[in-house]
Amino acid sequence: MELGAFVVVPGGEDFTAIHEVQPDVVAASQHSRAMYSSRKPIVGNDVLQSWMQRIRKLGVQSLWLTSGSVTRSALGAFARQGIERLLVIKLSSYAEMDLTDLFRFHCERRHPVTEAHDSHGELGVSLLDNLALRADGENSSATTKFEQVPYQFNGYAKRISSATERQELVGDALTGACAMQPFGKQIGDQVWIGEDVNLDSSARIIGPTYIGARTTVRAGVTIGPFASVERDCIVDCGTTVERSTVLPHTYLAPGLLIRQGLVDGSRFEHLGFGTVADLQPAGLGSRILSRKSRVQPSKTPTTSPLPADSNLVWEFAGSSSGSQAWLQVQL
Amino acid sequence: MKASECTVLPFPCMSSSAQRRALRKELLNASRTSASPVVVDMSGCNTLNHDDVDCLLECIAEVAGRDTLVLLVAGSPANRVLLEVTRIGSLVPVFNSMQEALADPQVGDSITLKVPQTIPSPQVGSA
Repeated sequence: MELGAFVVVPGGEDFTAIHEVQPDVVAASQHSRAMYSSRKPIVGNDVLQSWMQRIRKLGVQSLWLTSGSVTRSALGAFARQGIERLLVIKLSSYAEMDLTDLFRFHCERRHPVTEAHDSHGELGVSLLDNLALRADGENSSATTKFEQVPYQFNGYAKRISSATERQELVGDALTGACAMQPFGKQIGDQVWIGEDVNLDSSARIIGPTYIGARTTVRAGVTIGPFASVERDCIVDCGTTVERSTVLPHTYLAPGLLIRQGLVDGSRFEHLGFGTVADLQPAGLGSRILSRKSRVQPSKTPTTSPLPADSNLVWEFAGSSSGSQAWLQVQL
Repeated sequence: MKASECTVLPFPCMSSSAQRRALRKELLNASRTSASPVVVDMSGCNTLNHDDVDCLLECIAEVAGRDTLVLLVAGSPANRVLLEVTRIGSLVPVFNSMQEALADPQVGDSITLKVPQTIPSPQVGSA
């Protein structure tokens, strides 16, 4: 029985922008996008890759990637090509889920639709039978018309679209409370750094902390505890970053106190106040754009392999479902 | 603190350098003439720009070391975040609203508001 895997990047994000391959292109294309993109790294990790590794364990040879929302008719086109079961993952959560167990549960229950839940609700992972896709319902979403059987997941899961849960995931990854490992070299007790980090000798790094590749940490800066400054950032003199995440390509001005927050370019969300403030007018923070990124990025998906996993080969395939754009990824 | 007179200075948001100088002058006058609290009210500002932050820091520096208690009314959650990010919030007490500031024990239960005439009046509900 053929199983097809489908990953949906929410919110119309540019799913072809693979963060470690073309950082400049990502910086440009995400400039005006909503915060907490599921493709933004978490302690250097791409959540999509963690799902891809789990899908590979199911014996699936490739997956289909798209963005936005997916209708039943779009998936139905794949079903007509002979795919009998469809695993659909909305890239809105990180979950250490055994997909084999989900698959077994789905087969045993013999329901057309199985949806994975944790104690907080849906995780955006569902299995659909071909039967569920036979109904017409052009405008309905892929999982709404049939009775869904909830698959209760009791393992580790966080919703990465929430700033608070994202920060909790950072803390758990830094302290070993989940399986996610910081992507870099460990240089101290619960301190990891990526490649080519420019760390001033007067900077204080307090673990647990992660500093991503090519980030510059200037004189008098304090980073940590429970901080993650992702790749290609600049933290200017005397600034403190604690219990916070700084997303890629962010510049932070001198002398700031970034506490309990998530910074993405000039946008700062305070996790305690639940408020978003714009740092740009006061000159406190901004998006770093390199010369290359000022050029409009190509819409043609890359065929380059991901450096973190050279076995992944990206191939672009035309959609069989009309206007929905799909990228086929060989696992 | 016993009942006292409280000076409210509306913060000149997106202001000219002359307005910012006026605010500094008023703040300095208030701190010279009495030891009663001075509330800098930013309720009229939706956000803070570079000049606003500079002006606030200069004002706080002016009264540093004096007995005068300076309080800030952020006026909006975004301003409150910016005051914390710039560390101004660790230099002076910051409140969300004028009511919250006036209810603070440091200001006193029964106070009289005094608004200087040289800068526009703040939008305060009641004294």
